[in-house]
Amino acid sequence: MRHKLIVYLYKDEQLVKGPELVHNGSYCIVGSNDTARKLTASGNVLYLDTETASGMLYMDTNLKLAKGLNGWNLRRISCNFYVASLAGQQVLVYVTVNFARVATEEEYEAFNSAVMFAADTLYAGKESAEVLMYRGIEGLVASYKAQIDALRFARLAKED
Amino acid sequence: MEFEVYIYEIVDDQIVRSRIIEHSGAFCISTKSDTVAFYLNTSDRSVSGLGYWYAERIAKTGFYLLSKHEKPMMLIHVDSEFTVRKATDTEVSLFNAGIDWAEHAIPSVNFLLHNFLKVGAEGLAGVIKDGMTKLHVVPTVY
Repeated sequence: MRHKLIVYLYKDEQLVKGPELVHNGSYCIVGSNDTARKLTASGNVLYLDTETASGMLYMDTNLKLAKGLNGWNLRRISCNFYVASLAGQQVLVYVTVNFARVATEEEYEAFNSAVMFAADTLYAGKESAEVLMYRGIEGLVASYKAQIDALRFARLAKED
Repeated sequence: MEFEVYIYEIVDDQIVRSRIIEHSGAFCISTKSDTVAFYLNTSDRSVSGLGYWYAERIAKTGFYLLSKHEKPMMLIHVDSEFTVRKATDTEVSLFNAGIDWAEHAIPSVNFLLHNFLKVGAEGLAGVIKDGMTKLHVVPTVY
């Protein structure tokens, strides 16, 4: 089965569409893009060497799957948003089957504020101590997880 | 000092501004209506829940989480003109994504125990908060 792969490069804090590749599981064919100097494949893992080492992610349009490239780790956090990280650097990206971009300022704000909200919720030393006394360390972990879970906003939740 | 208080109701899953009350700070608003959801105080931009509703500001942003009976019900945004709207699907998706992401910062049992023995319960909470703060994705800085 031949897969169409779209490579995206991270340049100047933006995602730039790079070469389109055809992948059959054992080799890749490089599209017409000068940034891709050398491409080899091993199984389903791609190695892309570019002059700037700016390769960031590729999207497999058959599997509707996005993966990190050139050391980038890509973690899916919701249907279309991913956190891409490389050596401490983190970028929030939006990826669809044929499109990728970095998050907007507003999207960053919504995401980061939720992280801060979760942190504030869990930051309770006295409560932690009480839970520890009564339920032990594993109870504390369970308590933290339950608190986080309760914060998750259910889109479809409506008034009773 | 007088300031305006905007009362909002949630009707058919939409936010409706029902009336404006002059508030001198000397009296309280009370309602028996279960449909009244929250009020917005224009003097300090605070949003407070009414009835069984509870409103909590999310970090230092214009977003607030509205809960009823301790169950998250609606994510809202208040802009600089005090216009209130429901969060968009994308904003809700990102909010939940941020919470999911934060969950990964909850450390292992061994890590918690080690830090508890080392720095106590409050120190432990601080360690967890630091861990979550590091999850923030650049470039937004608070």
